[in-house]
Amino acid sequence: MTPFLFDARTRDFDKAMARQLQIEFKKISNRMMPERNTQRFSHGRRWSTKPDNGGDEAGEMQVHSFELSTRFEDIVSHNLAVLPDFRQRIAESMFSQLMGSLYETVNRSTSKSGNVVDAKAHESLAHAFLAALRQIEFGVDEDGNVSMPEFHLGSEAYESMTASLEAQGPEFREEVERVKAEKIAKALERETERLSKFPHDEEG
Amino acid sequence: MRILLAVGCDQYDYKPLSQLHGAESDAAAIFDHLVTKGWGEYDKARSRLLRSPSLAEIQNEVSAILFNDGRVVEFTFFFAGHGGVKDGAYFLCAKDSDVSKLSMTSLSMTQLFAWLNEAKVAQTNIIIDACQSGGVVHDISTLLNPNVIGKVGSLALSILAASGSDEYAGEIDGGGICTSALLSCLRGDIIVQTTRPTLDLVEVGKVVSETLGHGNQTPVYWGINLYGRARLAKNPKFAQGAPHIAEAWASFTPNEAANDHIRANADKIWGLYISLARGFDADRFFEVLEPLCDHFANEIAIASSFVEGLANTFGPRIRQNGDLYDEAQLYAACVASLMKLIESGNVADQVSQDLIRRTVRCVNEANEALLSQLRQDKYALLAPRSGFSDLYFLPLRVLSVFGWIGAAAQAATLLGQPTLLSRTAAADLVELILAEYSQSVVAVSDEQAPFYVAFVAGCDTLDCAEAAELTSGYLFSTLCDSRGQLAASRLTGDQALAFLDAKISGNYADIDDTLARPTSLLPALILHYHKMGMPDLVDRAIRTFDHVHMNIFTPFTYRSFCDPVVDGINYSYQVGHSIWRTADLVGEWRNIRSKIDDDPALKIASLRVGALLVSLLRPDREAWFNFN
Repeated sequence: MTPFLFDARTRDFDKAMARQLQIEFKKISNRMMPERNTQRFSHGRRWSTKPDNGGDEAGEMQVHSFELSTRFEDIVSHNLAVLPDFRQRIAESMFSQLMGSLYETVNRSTSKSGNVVDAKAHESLAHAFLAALRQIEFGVDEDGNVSMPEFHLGSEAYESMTASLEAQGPEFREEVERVKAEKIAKALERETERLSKFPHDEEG
Repeated sequence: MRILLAVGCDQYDYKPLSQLHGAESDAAAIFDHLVTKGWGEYDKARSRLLRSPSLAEIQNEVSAILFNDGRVVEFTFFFAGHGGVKDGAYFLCAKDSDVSKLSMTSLSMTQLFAWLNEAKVAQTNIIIDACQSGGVVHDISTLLNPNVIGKVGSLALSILAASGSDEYAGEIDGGGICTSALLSCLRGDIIVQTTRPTLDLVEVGKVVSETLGHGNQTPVYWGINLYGRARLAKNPKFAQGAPHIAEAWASFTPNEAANDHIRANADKIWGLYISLARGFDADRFFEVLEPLCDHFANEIAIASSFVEGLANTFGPRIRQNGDLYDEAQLYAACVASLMKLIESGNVADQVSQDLIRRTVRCVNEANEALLSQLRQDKYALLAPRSGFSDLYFLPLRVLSVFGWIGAAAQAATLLGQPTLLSRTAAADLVELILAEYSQSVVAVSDEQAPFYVAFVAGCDTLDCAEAAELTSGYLFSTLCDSRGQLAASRLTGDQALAFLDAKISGNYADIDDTLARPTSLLPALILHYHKMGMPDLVDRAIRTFDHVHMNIFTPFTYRSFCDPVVDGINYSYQVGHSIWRTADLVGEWRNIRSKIDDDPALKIASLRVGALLVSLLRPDREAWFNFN
């Protein structure tokens, strides 16, 4: 049996480390999802909702778990570098799993709605981009501002896409701007319609 | 007065309680050994043997023993027969017991405890060799429910209980297995111990339990005894003279006022006892003990008896956890609790010396156990459920082991019994740890200072100068690396993590309040380098510690060294302001040392050892007096 365990203090140490990781995870998730779009549930693992256009009707929490090992020898040799290294590795693992989960959810949702653009079916990546833009509906945030869509690409795909976009002429860019303006107008129109569903003052 | 009531019940009037065959003979054998043959020195006129009695006969006999003809100081109750649990209460079945109305027709333990309480019996031994029958739920552990036992006012109770699964447990040769093993211990066929003239029920119960192994009838033994040491019987294997039951015990028995005071604190004592399952916590121990011992400041015999009883009760409980250094800490804490009462040769001194010997023996056993573990698994010093926290706590753990070894070596020498500690095991353990964990001999916290001081002082006794030199070297070089930045003593876990983060980044600005300022480890290292004849090594590096504050604390009297906050003088210095080289500190130290030596308390060996042990239990103070 290991003597002089400093049991209570060790537990405090581990809890403090868990708190550090929680903060790290929050920072990471906030990079992908604004805090106001994050919900916390006290009970249950599933949820059911009444979706607006194309959203999921039901869902289930996914467990994210990480297993990282540290060598006994690193502890015995008092290698303090393992501490920040562990935090970095776990942050990377968390980020990677979170992104995986996010893409999986988006993929499931688009497959269901058929809102998928096949890049190979278009003459160039730039045209696939334009096709995707046409199929996306822009959102409006709580302050009434239209939020632009984000495109997530791997580094290679990013380079190819950038090159393809830069190779397009002014007509293409004008078409992109026109689609954007149209989407913004439609988004604002939908927002007005959404708000109109609330009781009017005179009804209240 | 010592009285035995032995009850054996073979005959039962009502089914499903079956007839037994060995219960009466077991009770008779116990009575014969302890009373007739005199091995228990029980009062022959008032002790009783009951064969298959009715409930009324048992009640009448208990009443006559406990409430007639003067106070019973020590009472031993033996029962062999059917027993069982119903609605959470444990019942002993008499001849006329009826299972369908057990509470009305049998003797409940709760009732027995209430009688013992009312009769103010100072010390009780209860031995039950019972079985279950008739579908009554089998759960002897109910007997050990603190809510039941806690009602015993004397706080001096030992129990040995065995329960077979069905029959009158595994009868052999007309007797119960448990009672046979018990009698073997009492007769000396099985050796319990050879160092004391008497046997107590808990130590006997431990041997009985080990003898019977883990079969159907593993006995439960348990005891809480806050008044000296319980005496069940004379020890036939006592090696240092004729076995006897000393008369002195009665004078150790607390008076009514003392008894009431201990009883009033029973909840805290119970809480402390229960908390031992999680390991020994010196702070919590002192929190409970200090007010109690202060209360008995003028009743040294009672305080000593109480502390000794506590050691006897808590020791076996801690031992079950498997960490023998923890048990050593318990005995050390008991010595510390008596420090204000110790005068040369008085009862507190005698009890303390015995407790110090136990401390040393436990450290010795712990050393041997750890050495064996480390030889099998080089990572045995790592905490089993923890990872990164050992970056902070492993260096503390290593120094803790070294510190206790050093303290035990000094203690054994100061008591004139240097052989109590195996020098070979101690030296081998230190050598092995230094070989496998050299990179964890790191200066992390000022909490390491008392352990370092105890270790290097003990190394003189252990002939481990090389180990002291290596340890000093590792600590000094890592302290240089951190430019003298150390964590303060006794940081919480989250503070420890914050300190490590600061150490990694080299930015201590945000954790200023968790730094050791001043440090006692640095002066200890400097002074030891001087002792080793290597002051130049320090002088070459001392500029690294420019502006570092150092401190050597000495109390006005070492009698008060266990107080949470000790009154005394902080000799405080700053590198680069009052100290520039080793010789400057050595000059100051010589003045301090002469003042320390003036304290008459340190002339008493047990008090001197007590102060040394306190420095390890409350590691925010150092035992500089053994530091040459």
